[in-house]
Amino acid sequence: MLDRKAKLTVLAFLLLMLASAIWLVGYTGRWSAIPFFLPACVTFVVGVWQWRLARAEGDLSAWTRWGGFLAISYAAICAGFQLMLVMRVLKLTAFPPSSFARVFLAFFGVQLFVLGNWMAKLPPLRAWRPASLSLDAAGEAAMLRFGGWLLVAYALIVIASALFVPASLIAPLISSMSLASLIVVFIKRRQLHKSQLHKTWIPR
Amino acid sequence: MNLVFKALADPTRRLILQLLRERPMTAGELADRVTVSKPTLSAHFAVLREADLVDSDKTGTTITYRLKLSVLEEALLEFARAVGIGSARPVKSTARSKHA
Repeated sequence: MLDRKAKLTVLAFLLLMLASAIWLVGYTGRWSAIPFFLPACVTFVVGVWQWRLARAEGDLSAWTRWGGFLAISYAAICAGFQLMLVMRVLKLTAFPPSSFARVFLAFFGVQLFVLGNWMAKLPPLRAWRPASLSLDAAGEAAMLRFGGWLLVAYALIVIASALFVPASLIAPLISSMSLASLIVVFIKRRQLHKSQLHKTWIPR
Repeated sequence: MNLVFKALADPTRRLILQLLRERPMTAGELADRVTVSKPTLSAHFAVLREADLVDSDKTGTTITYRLKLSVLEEALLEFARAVGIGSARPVKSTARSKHA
């Protein structure tokens, strides 16, 4: 679970984002769900993380710190993007919207890089998983190291996309890369699960 | 970060980390595979623990070491190995470990 400091910080960012979303709707005079999208994303990510860690066992201090960084940095990046939207509406900046998105994506990539680098160092998380994907402590450690490398590679591609890829190609590239990463993680976990079964299988 | 560089600069410590990449190992298993005396090995473990590159669990009299490398630290380990800072000490024959 998140510690008190992380919870309060995320809550402060959420309130700021909600206030700016309500202000944006009031200022423009027409209803739109778009300003509420980022606060919803933050609530979802932090909620899923809280739910996951609440069902885990053992010493969770390292995971709590990692989750705290995830929640605070994600909320801060989203709040920053929301603030840029407000500044744009108030015409306080002439920065084009596509550049906003690129800056947002680059920060998101840096955040993922830090999280991936750190993830490889974390102890195995003892939490529920489907039986077909469960691993022993050594398998979970191997999976974390693999996940860390994958996340760092993903983050570097996100940063490179934000800086160099044409705007029209960024969304399809990131979406296909995310899907491919999920498939690779699933295959790796299944592979480790099978090798674990093979090791523990004793012929009669 | 200085502690990490110091830990990775020594070939024996790099060898220990390489061995731990295969799986977590006990101090005895590592001692069987690294050609240094046990007190020296203990000193290497202390440096690795201080740099936060390994984790240890004590069960009774057995200490099990587990790798605790971030992605950048692992990349740095690979770089140090590729460049060959110092010279890697030979791994002992596995025959001894089989008889132990």
